[in-house]
Amino acid sequence: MSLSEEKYIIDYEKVMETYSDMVYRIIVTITGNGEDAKDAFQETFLRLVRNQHKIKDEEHLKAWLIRVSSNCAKSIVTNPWNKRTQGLDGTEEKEMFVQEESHLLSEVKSLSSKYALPLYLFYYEEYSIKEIAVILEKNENTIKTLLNRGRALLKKQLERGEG
Amino acid sequence: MSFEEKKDAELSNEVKSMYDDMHAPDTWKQETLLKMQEEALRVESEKKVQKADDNIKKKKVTPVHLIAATAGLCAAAICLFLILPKGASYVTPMEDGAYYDTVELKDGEIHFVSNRVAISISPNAGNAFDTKEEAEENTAEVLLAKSGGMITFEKTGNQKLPQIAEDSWSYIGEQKIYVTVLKKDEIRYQAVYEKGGETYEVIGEGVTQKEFIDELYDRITE
Repeated sequence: MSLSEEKYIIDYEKVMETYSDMVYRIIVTITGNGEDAKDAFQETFLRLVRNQHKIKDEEHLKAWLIRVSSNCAKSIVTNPWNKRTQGLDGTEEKEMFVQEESHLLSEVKSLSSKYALPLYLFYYEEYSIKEIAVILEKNENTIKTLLNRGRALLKKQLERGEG
Repeated sequence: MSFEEKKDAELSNEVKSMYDDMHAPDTWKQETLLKMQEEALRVESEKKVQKADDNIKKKKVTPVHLIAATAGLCAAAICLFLILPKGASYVTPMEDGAYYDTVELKDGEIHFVSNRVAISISPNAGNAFDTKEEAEENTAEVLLAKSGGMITFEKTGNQKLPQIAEDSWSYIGEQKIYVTVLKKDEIRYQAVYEKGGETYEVIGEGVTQKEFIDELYDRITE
């Protein structure tokens, strides 16, 4: 077996250390709520355990985590069962974030995830439009459009906030 | 830098500084790591069970590729007409409405060039070979096939083989064998042969044609 064909071994602790923040940011950007975010966070890493044989290398791992975490978050958000807000005892079920949200974060979260996720990947992870298109399995032109609209919406919201 | 570029750079910086402050809670990380380790153990255990199952099936039945469904199998009165001379590849003769493909005997093993076995309609096919009246008890051996069906080998003690008309015989190598399909909808194969002075009956239920022939071949040539 040549070196290039060697199996990529995943060290769970290292993965958690390296990518937990990224996964968390993506999920919070999409779900915007603590309890759902936690479910999606755990589901993303459990899926990694089940599918680790498919991961080819570090770059693939990162892209895989981005795609799966966004899918997990979206599926939780769109699941009607998760739209409940009350627990069985009538108390509020959603966990409050320990961290304080910045004004900008709440603005980003108020954007539809379809705009927020490309914005995060472009500005924060510094992926190119082409790379984002591959990761999110979308057309490059679609990503360009989403980024432009996302920027415009965010700027408008920020200006409104300042004014 | 244009005004738009400047604005975009500002936005970029703001987005970066905002996300810089966001970190996954430590409790989430610890809980998730534990769950990952548990999941890894569960996945590993499932794999071991699956591997053990596969090994059992592999030992019992030679793994085969699924053969394509053939129109010939739909007919109730079908007889497998298999002739495998040693040597070069051999294309079996065809009869009207039947189907054929190349079958090779190579290094003592059957090779279905297109994962199919030759079949031809025989006027005497579809008739079960009656072995029950003289069947011996406690000699049956049941094998589970990969497709989920089973193949039963049974020593019958029956000596009726010579009564079968010559044109109903099939062959595996030099071995004469009577092979037929007993049921149309729920395919059930029967094969009867003599070896070492004993007569054997083989029944294949819910198996593919190739699985049945492969297992038969192994038994006859072993």
